[in-house]
Amino acid sequence: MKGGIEEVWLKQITPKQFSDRLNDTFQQEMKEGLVKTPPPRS
Amino acid sequence: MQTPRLTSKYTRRTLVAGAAASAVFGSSIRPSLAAPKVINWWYEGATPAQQAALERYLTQPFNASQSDYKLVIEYRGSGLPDQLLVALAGGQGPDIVLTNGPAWTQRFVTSNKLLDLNAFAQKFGWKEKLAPIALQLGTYDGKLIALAKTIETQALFYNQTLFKQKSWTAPKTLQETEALADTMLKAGIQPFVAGNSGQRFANRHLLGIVYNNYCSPDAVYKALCGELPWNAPVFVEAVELLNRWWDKGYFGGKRYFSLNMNQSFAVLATGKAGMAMQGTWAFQWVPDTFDKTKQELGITALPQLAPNVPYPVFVLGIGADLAINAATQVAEGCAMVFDRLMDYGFVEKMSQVWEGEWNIPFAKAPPSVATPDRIQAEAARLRAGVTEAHGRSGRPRPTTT
Repeated sequence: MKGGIEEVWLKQITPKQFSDRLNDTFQQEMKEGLVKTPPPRS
Repeated sequence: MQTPRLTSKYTRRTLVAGAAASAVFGSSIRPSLAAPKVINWWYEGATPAQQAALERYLTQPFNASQSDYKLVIEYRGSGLPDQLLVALAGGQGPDIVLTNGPAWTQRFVTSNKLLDLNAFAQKFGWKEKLAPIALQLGTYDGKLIALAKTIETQALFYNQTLFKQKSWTAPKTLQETEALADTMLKAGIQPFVAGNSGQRFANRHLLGIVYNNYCSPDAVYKALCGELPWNAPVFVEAVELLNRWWDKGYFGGKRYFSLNMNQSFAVLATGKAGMAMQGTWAFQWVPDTFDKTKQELGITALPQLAPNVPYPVFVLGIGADLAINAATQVAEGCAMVFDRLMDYGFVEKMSQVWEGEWNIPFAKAPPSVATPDRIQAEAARLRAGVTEAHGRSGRPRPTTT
């Protein structure tokens, strides 16, 4: 996410590809317990 | 880079030597055993004025208030996150661990590199002093691991002098934003200052803005909970929007890569650029930018980038977490330092010199302070509003500036 948007701006990947990559990384980290779930909203 | 901690360690030999010295010199000379133990805190970057303020309002009073510990702050600059990763992995590093917030803290939690602060929270009454949401975000599997050092939000900063001169008003919608930005471009003015030189994390600030203000805070919340994928159409559209703005030159093109955030903010203060979508940490740059150019800074909510998104949105961010290294020998001293920070008086004094970085999330908004400085007053109002909006229920309520 930190660097990926630069690749979009520089036309190396599309917004969809960026979003796919972000989602893959996030879902993997969530599976590994690396994502802190935010507190419940009232 | 691995740097040994500076914490004093006493061996059996030094204990014996200390006892001998005591016997020889009697009570008139302090024995070496009583030398204060060093509490080492690695901090990120700070200007000389900011370092002096921290020395004046924290280090000196803390060290003078007791004789057991000596607080030493080392300024490590932008390399701090990487230095911490390496040092803590090797069982070293500072006693006080300053991270960039909960996502960073998480990296050390999974490897058990940080102490559980629950006992200290009980002792010092932190659970009464701090906003519940801040405590929740520092709690992992029932253990209180981190305390939020500063909360922040994002806003639209603009050059009010320029806006008055051109009879412009701050945009509230996507259409108004793009119309104004296009007008600025035609006039040779860069619409938004931004830069990530040496600070690639700054990219995330812009993504966070389009995600929250185009997709909505609800969508972001669902995605963070795993209930909505980050490649859902609405998130792709947000990235397309950011891409369109880049292509139109709203962020200054490739200059974005050669300026850092504070350098780009300085361009805003000259009137060569009109706006900045920035975090409240930007207040700390005002003395070196707007105060010097004598131009006026305006601040308002970020524009609503889609009609279904609430307005205004003030996100709650935790810009820095404080934690204690599991390998420390001075945990109690570290907790005493934390307790010093959780004081309205400290925050008020620090904020006069170093606005935007010492927004402790108190459970109750700090008492309002009369200040003749318009920007300081605005920053204090924004800080209090965010604390109030998010503090009790954990759900942000709309606030206005």
